[in-house]
Amino acid sequence: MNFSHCTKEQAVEQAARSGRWDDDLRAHAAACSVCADIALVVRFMQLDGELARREAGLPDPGRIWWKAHLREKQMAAERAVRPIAVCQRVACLWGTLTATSILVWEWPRLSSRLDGLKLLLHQAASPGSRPQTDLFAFIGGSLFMFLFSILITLYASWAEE
Amino acid sequence: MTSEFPLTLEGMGERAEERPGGTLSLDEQTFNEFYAKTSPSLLAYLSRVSGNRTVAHDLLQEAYYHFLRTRLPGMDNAGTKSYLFRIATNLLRDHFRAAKRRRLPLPEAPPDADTSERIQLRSDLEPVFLELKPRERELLWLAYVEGYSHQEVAEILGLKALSIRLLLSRCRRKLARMLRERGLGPED
Ligand SMILES: [Zn+2]
Repeated sequence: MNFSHCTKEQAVEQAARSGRWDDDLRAHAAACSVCADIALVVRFMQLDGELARREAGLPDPGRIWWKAHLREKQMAAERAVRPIAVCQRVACLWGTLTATSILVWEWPRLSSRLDGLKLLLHQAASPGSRPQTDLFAFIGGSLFMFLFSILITLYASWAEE
Repeated sequence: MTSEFPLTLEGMGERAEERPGGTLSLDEQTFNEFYAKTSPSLLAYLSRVSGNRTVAHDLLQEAYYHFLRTRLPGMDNAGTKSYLFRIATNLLRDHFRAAKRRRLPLPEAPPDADTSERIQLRSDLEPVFLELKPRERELLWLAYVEGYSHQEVAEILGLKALSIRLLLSRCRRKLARMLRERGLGPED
């Protein structure tokens, strides 16, 4: 026998569980500190286990099953619409990339037109040029709104996910 | 209550796997029979290890929910039950982690409307058990109330089978000392 183990552990545990002790084993458990601990702990745990099992108030199994069933259906539905969300996101990304590519590609031509507009803006000091200024503001505003709406759509798509 | 607990297969061989979704692993009647056999001992385990009846009820429902989502081909009754206990143990671990993070107190279970003798016995025994660490409570409960072998305890707790003997002997010594200090040891 060493400090923490004893060859009779198993037999003592069985006896403590069943309550059937023979005299030799009882004498051994009284003298051996390892087996005394086993006998005491097993008896305590059995008593507490019995007490805990007898406590009333188990939830209704039907309710658990139906809740699980509903959660599973909900998850299946979420899985089903996931490809649509992915398609939406891809379409948004594609739109943004296309718009950006067109802007970059067409920038030299656009730039020269903007220069023309700038010139018109300088002439706006005279009272007769007000409609040209409005045109410039309209183009700038539209461009800003376009980019802003793309950003909002992208954000909404991500937030939904 | 929801849990982040992922169903893992470690230690359970190749038998259990998470279902891809759609249907549950058991029909309602089979589940009811399985529940009747396993729920009293599972609730007792959850109740004593968590030290809180309300938490134990939540975890019990969550454990069965995870169980119902798992495919268990060729697993016998004992294996199925120990797998359920493994799920419950992981949920307990999540619960203790969350409670620690949020610094929530872990209240003791309120006594039920029961005979005064049982309340007395419970109020003697339960505080002693709750003084142990959650892992120690799990070990002792699985070994001495559920009667699982060292190998099974190791599988449920996700520990090495060889370490169970040593851990169990330490817990036993600690609990025996606590019981004797409170005069709950043998009369001799
Ligand atoms: Zn001994």
